[in-house]
Amino acid sequence: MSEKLYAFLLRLYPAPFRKAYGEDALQLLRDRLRDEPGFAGRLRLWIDLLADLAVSAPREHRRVAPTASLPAEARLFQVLEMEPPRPSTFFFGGALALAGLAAFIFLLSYAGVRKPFRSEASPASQVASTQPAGSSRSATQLGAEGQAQSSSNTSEDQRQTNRRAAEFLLDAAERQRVLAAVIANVREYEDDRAAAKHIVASLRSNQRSGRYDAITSGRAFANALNTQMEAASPATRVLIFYTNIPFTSISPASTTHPIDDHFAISIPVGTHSPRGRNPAAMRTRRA
Amino acid sequence: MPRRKLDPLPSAAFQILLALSEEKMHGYGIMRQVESQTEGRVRLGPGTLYSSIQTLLEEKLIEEVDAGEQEKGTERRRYYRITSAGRKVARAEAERLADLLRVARARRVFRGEYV
Repeated sequence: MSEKLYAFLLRLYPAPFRKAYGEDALQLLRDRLRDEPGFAGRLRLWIDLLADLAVSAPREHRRVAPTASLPAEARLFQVLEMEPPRPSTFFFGGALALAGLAAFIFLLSYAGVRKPFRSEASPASQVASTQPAGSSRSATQLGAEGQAQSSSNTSEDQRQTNRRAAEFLLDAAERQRVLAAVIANVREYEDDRAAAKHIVASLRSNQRSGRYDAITSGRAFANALNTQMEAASPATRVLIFYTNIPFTSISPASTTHPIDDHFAISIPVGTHSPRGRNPAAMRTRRA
Repeated sequence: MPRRKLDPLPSAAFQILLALSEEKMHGYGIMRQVESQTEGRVRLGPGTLYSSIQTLLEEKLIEEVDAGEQEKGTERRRYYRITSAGRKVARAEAERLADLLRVARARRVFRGEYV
């Protein structure tokens, strides 16, 4: 028992010392156990061992072990200690440090720092416009939806947002809600009342004729609405936006008012509601 | 010039050199001899004993020798004996202590039986 315990305590000594003298130390313990029987002898023995352990183990760790008894790695460090480093050592060390610094700066600059969405760079462009081809209005916003989808941005939040957006498909009820909201907003915000009436009549005519029934893409639907509005009244300033990123995830521009999770209507600056109503109140209501 | 590990000579190392001054011994024998020559005041533990032995070997003040006929057939033990360099170091240390003793006597530090 005593021998096993002391063999365990010998682990407190450095490995080279244990390897060189561990067995001798155990032999000495066996000799003392044999020659010092009885409780008093064992007690004195263990007091001696523990006191010796407390003093000699730290000293052995501090001392510089002889080269022959050290492992190869330790001898390498001893060579460094005994001989001054050569100039080439400083050169390679400096080169390695510079390379590491350059890599660190590169990682800081590029790794994990996502490029901003075009829609994030400018709040006004957060909502994708679906202008008719060739229209001069908001031409720079065209195609933002596709770019947002294909962006190299890989943050988890945006992946989730894109996933939600990819799942969004327009159904008949959604088309009806959006169309009703668009008509209400056109009536409310179109300055030219005759033009507003013409636009609303045109939109309702298309709805009745089932022209929108096959459209399941939000962008295509907004595009069709804008095309129809512009055809009915080329001077209209009301514009329908569609975004595949729900408005719960982004903040639209101040002049753009959401009428649905994915659709918004642009109210040009200076346009005031003749009835003084808040555009937010014109949003569609889901069942 | 690196400093020698045994300058000054530690008490345990000096005791081991004195213990080996007459005959070769193994570790346990050295421990018993030191205990005897100090009248039981010093009992070297395994750590201190073998740490000192290792240092004395590195400084070539002692050397490891064959066990000889007396240990054949029993446990294998390592025997050590003092070298001529070890003897010189032990003598120098003894003289240093003797000088100290003379100074202490001259200063009348001792009383009674030690005088």
